[in-house]
Amino acid sequence: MKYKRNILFIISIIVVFLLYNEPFYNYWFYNRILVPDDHGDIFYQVQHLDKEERREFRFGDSYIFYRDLLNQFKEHNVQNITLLLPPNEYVHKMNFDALIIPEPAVFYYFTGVNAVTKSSPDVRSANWALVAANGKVWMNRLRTRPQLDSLLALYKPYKD
Amino acid sequence: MNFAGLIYILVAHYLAGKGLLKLFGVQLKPVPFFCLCMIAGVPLLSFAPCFVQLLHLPVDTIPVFIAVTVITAAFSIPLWRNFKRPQLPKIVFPALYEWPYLIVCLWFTIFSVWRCFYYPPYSRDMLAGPELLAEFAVREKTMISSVFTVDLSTSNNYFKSPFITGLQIIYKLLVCPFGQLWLSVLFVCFIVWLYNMLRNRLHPILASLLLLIFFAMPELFAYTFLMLYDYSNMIFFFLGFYFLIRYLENKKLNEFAFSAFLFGLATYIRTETLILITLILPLLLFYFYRWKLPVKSMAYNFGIFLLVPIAFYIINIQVFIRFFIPIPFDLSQNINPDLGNISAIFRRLQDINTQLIFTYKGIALYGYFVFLFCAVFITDLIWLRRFNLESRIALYAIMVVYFGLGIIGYLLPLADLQNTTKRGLFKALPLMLLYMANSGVLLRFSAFIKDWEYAKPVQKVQKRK
Repeated sequence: MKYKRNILFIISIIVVFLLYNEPFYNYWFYNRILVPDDHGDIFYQVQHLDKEERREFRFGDSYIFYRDLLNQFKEHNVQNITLLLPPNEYVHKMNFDALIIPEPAVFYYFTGVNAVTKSSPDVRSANWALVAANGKVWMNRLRTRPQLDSLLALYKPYKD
Repeated sequence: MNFAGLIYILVAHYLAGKGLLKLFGVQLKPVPFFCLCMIAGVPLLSFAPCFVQLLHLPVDTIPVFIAVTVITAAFSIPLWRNFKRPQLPKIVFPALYEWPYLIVCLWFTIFSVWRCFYYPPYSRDMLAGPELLAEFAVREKTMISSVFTVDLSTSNNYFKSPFITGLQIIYKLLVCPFGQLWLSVLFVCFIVWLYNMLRNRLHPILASLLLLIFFAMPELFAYTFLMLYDYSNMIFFFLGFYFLIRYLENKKLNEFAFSAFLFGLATYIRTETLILITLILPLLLFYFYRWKLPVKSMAYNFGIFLLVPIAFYIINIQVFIRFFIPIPFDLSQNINPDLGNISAIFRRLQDINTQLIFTYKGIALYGYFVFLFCAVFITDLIWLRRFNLESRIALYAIMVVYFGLGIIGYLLPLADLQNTTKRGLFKALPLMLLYMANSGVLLRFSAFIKDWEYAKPVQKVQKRK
């Protein structure tokens, strides 16, 4: 019986080997499971357990950008912010392809800052705007109604 | 990571689940029983933060810890009444030939659990819904937090079940900052349970091969560490069917009630499941008619089977949304305004076949698993043409999922093909595995391997004579 079990063992190894070498499984297993992801393997990640670092790994550059925005607000002790976010299509047209504009709920999850988009019901409550133009992204305080209207008019043709 | 908190919460899941199983008088072998206790204990504890909020206590570590303890103690009452000294089950180590498969499966499992622990929740549905609610409930110590001052018009995910919100709050407060590990508890226990189920029916070498192919479904595997409702929903829906089959085999009412309860938990996790549950009624009617049950008993059984999931549905819609979501909810807005046009059902069914299953994308989503199931089924159909009760009901259940998803797509326009239906198909996958575990062809092949493995050499037998 032991002999037959050894045969079954060899068959198991051959089947696993064949499955691994089947092109689809091979591609998936090698690229998604076996090879470490962009943020290193488990051994590297064990050395990087800081909560913020893990968030950066997961959410990427856009998250780092928004967290830095929040830090700027904190440094200048700005409160009661409602930030107008530009549409994604507009931001990409301005050649900021890496920057992804999240919906207000997700932006709130990232930063704890209230945000609106051009199609939000309470867009008129915006008192700050994230502006992208001429190769730069900056924060603009919205002091007057025409400032907001001009931005909304600019964003109108673009999709969120 | 708070290891003491993790151990506490695991024990709480186990005790609450075990109490529930005792309450329903469910009897299984030790390993599947342990796994089922852990699985059943997960959704039970998810109510704890809601109770804390209802009592107007701060949603903080101590009140949530007490609420978890109280729920566990309440569900443990059946255990104290018939207290027996716990006995450790005999551990049967897998045979040598199972190890190549199991090592690969173990690697998958370690990968999944680590990702679940290491990375924060990622899917948009979570970040704009339950994870957002849970994160700010923990920060602000109330479930009715500042989240509801934000523009939530782009999402309706905050109207979904408190299952994930509750568990995320508990795990964030007691275990680790990103929560999520409850998903690994469900995943690991379910996989061990499935493996036991397969091993009880098939030769271990076939059981472990099927388990490996089940693991190697990229889409399903991804949701073992990407927190969403569908994987958990799949587990409870499948277990509901498993105990329904046991009831139809042995007519034990306690297993019927437990099945209804599991379907209730599946409805609690995803409310649309109620539509699928109504499609099970013809099956019950068929068996009740066959058993010549009196009309009164039939009505009583139908009542049990439907009322439990409806009760969970009401808990979601009338209690959770009313008390915890300070935003008006109008169910009618989510329903298809053009109900007269039933062609949408057939279109959705066609799209499932042409866009999700029998296409190259289907392989990218579910690997070769569905094709393997089809091959086994067709071989059974052509060659043996004999189906046992489990395989017949598994086939019926797969049809319930398939047609149910068509109906859901027709009734709820928000249930789109590439998200809701694609992940809804998960529910059919363990049912396909259950079918294959009962397939005539595989059972014969399994018996052939067993005979060959355990047969004694002819010479030795002759010498003994």
